Amino acid sequence: MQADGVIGKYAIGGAVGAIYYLEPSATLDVDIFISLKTPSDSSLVTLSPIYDYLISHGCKVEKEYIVIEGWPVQFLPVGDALDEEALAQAVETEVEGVRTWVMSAEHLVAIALRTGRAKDFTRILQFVESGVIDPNKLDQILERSGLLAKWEQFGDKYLKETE
Amino acid sequence: MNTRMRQILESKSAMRRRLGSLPFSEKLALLEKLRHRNRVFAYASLLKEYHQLTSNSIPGQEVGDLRARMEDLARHLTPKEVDFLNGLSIDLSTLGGTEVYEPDGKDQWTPQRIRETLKRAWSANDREAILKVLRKGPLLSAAQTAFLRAQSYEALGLPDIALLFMEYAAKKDPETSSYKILTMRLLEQTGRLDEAGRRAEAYLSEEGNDLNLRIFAAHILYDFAKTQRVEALPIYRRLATILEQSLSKYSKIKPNFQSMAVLGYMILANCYAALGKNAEEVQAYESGLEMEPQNSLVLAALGLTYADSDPSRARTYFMKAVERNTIAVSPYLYLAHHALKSADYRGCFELCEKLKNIANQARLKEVEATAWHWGAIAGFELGVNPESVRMAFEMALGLDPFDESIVYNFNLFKQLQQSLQPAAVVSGTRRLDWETNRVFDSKGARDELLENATPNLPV
Repeated sequence: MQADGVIGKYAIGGAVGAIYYLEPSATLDVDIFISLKTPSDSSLVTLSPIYDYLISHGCKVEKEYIVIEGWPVQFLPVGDALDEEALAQAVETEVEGVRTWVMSAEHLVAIALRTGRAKDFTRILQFVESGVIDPNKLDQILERSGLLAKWEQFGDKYLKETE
Repeated sequence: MNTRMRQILESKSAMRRRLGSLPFSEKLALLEKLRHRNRVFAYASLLKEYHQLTSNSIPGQEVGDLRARMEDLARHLTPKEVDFLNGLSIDLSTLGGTEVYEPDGKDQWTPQRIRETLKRAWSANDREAILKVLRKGPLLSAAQTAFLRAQSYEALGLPDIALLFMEYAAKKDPETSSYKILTMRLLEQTGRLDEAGRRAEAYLSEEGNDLNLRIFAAHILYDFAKTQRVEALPIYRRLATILEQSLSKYSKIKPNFQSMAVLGYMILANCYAALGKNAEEVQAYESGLEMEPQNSLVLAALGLTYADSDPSRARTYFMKAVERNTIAVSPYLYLAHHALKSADYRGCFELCEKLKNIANQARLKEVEATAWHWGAIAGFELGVNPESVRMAFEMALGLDPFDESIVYNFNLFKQLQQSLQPAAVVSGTRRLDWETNRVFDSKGARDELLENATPNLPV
């Protein structure tokens, strides 16, 4: 898709992004963060070019996902400065010879904290336990994203016993 | 926490670390497998619920909702998975009391052909093939068929489903104690220790039950007692009385299945240990040893009873256990530690080599780390290639990164490699101050012996 110019830079986030750093855990979908340009005649971002491209290549749409080779994929246009930074600083890797990008562990933690569902908190705890997080880098990201207070709350609730 | 549970947690944690270090593409491939597996498990669970609801004739909204969830999930299943789950659905419907067989189609499934196919599938340990052939026509009794289904679903990772079939086998053939025993084991395995304990109580209170059932029931109740904080001692007391009576009756008849009685003596000894009755504990082990003089687990257990009070006697028993290639880790640990402290590095090295394999197979991560750790020290002292010693330390640290003695000794080794004079070197003798103090967990070791002593059931 990237080679065909349908999307620009992208980064894998969510649970699949997390398994770049952690052990694989059950997840239903793949979250792909992309940067989209707003058409000049509209104030809305649209995923239509991506969907059109994938449907023309035999993929099926199911609810909010588009199923690519059996994987339900959700394309998420970057929504704020945190997403943009996560996309810009994504780590480059290779899967079966194809270049791809995965969000940094610290950005994945920050985005999970912002999303704030139970499964996101579980993932944050997995990151904390694994020791792959750079605390200084995370602090800076949380500060820039205005998430420090939420992090404090998370720490009070979940991390007190492990300190 | 019992030994099995601890082993499970430790192996899961080791597995998580190992999986975490795999390349991303391998992790994605694993995730793909995991997604399939989870879908099958989720669907099997819904199917079980569906059959339970429909067999109890609960109509209406609840069944409708369940069907909708199943249909939603079914869209993501592969044809092979659908085939497997359709088979499961047929099998579940037999729990209502009527066997259901697949139509013959073009192929004729004669009893002879079913028997041969089943035999081949059994020899090949092909569980899915066993399940399929059982649907082809009547061959075995309802209880035997349910038993085979239970064993197969358990092996396929569906112990909840296996439990349903094992309970059915026990219901259809109440005379075969193995079905009751395996039902208790599956209850324990699926986290329903309370229910397993309740059934064990019931079997133990009935006089006529055979020794196998009584000993397994005692084992289950012993596991249950370990989870109780306050009420454990009365359970141990009662178990000790029941086992003394059962085993004394048993010894009067010609033993035809000794290992089961030996397990009984080991549970009895553990009950006495929990009650602080050490003389009775030793007596119970000695009775077990009388029955099976070569039983390395009883020898290891006797070693453990003397580990603190009479180290020399403990070593004698442990050495006998090692000579018989025991699969218990405690004799190797005890003797390797003694060898290390006595500067018998050759002895320590050899014991550690054996211990590595046993601990690895039993997934005892910390024990395996200790074997690598002490093996590294012994290897260093024996003049083994420094790279091999370094690798052994790294292995030890990888398996147990929180063991400070490994960190300390690895640093000591690195200092030597960098030609620095380590503070601990005693001039002239070149004897290093390795940190090798280890608290010997004799309680954990006893639990391990009990788990290893459980024989396979004759069915």
